[in-house]
Amino acid sequence: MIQIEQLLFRYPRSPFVLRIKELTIADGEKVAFVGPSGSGKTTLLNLISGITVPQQGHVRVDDFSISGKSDSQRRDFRISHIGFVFQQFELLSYLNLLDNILLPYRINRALELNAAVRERARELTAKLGIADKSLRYPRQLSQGEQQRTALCRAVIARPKLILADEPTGNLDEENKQIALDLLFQQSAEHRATLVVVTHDLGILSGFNRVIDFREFRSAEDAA
Amino acid sequence: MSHAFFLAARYLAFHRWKTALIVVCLTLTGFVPILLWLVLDEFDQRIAARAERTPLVIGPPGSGVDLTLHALYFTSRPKDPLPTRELKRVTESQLAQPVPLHCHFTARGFPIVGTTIDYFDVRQLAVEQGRLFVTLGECVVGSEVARELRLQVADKLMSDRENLVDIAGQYPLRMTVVGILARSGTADDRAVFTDLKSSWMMLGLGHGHDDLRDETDPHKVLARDSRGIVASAAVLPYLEITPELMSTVHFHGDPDEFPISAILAFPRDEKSATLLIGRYEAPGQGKSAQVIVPQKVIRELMKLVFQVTQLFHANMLLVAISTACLLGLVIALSMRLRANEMETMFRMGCSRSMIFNLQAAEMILVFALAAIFIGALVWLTKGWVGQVIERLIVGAT
Repeated sequence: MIQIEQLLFRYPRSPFVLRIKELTIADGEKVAFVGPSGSGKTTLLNLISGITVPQQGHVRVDDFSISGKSDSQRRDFRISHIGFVFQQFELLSYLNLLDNILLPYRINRALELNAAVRERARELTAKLGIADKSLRYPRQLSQGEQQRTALCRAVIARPKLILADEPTGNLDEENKQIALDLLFQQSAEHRATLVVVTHDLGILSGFNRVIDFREFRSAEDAA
Repeated sequence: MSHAFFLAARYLAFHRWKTALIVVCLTLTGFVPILLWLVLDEFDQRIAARAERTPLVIGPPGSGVDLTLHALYFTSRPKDPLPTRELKRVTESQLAQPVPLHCHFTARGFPIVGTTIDYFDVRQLAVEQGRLFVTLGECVVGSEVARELRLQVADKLMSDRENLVDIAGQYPLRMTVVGILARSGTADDRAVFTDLKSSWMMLGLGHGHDDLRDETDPHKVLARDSRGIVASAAVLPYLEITPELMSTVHFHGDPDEFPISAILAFPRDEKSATLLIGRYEAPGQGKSAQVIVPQKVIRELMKLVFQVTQLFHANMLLVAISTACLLGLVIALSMRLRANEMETMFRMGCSRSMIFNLQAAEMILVFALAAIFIGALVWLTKGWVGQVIERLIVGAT
């Protein structure tokens, strides 16, 4: 469960202010945030994951209070609980597709990279139609293939929370649905909470809750 | 740490040219001083070993270094050679076993060393093919001479003529190769050894020619009386001494005055050595000859070499420092280029220690690669260094 209370966040030397009086996302819930660029959707993902910390208020994921923890503790929590899909994919150029997917296992000492994990990675690539490109490097992949690789990387370690920033931004209609199905399936199988930030209003049907972030913020600011 | 090494290896392999450049820089920075050290060590060992095996050298006055190099490596010949009576003097003193050297001529570029068969004993030289020289006009060649000139036993080897217009003497001598020495890794491998008298023949002090006792040609016989026959230059000396012509060989002049360029002296004991040195260094002995201890001369020479080496080491230190600075710059630039990658790692929750491990693993791999290459180069060049030093020392003639 994600709980946000009395949150106030502002970037240094910027007029942008994000206020959230209260926001709760239940375990296993699938929530989509929509809204225009610059409305603070990505900032919210960063606050939930502990990449940034609010000046005021609390962000709690399960029993872990992000606000009061050190950078090191937040890193440990992030790597062991959260799967990320970044807006720009952020694949490592020197790793092939399969190694990029397995990256969480290589940078997280708590995770063990074994044959079962490798098999799961292969299954994921097969599901997303990129199995035949397992040995290719990111520069040899299309935008869509890179995005699907980033999706696989986000879910490979079966995180309890999946944060996805425009996960279907570079995919065609067919692949969009495949990607969403994968995210929903992971959420359902592992009771993972799914928080997606998107501009794409055509993918919202499968979510439990859709929050228009501009309206949400206006209400919060008014309150 | 294994995952850090995996990721580091992938990164280095992906950026293989950049990695190769850094590894080459590190390898050269590490290898060049080691190579220099190997060369100097080998040079020191080899040059010192030959000097140690030559307790004393007696030669004409002048540079001790020149005399040492001449006696040990047959390099530049002394201007004023010693008279042979000096050899008698040492022999009669019974303080040391003298081995004369007369090194004046060359045969196809290789020094011809006129000596006695004692030389092979004192230098512990073994004959691989054939035998040692016994009569005039025979020679024994070093292994490198035989290899380079493709000489076999019974082949002929002509001494080089020094002056083409000197018709009065110094005729080239066609020698018969009667033996090939086993490889010794010393200057002896690149020398031609012959009897002292044979080398005097090349100097024109002795020769063989047609019997003039019954000669009536006035162009050949200028004068004849009870004391002897005066021959003209039309009587050509033989260029080769065959067994049939051996009886015609004769020498002109006082044998005690025939030249030798150095005497290797092997004293019976330390006391004899001291006495012998004393005889040559005692006041009132004149300066017709000098005695030197090659070991001392070589030690002085090596001191100079090592002083020069210090400069080289200082230079290498500066190169190493600049390489380290460049490496630091490369790493700093690499970190900047990889800022996005590090940011991704951070956002995924990668710990600081893991990121440090990644960087450390890359450095370790790069240094390990450089160390492997240095080791391989050292292994590959070690034998080569020996050959080069041998060439440097031996080929200095």
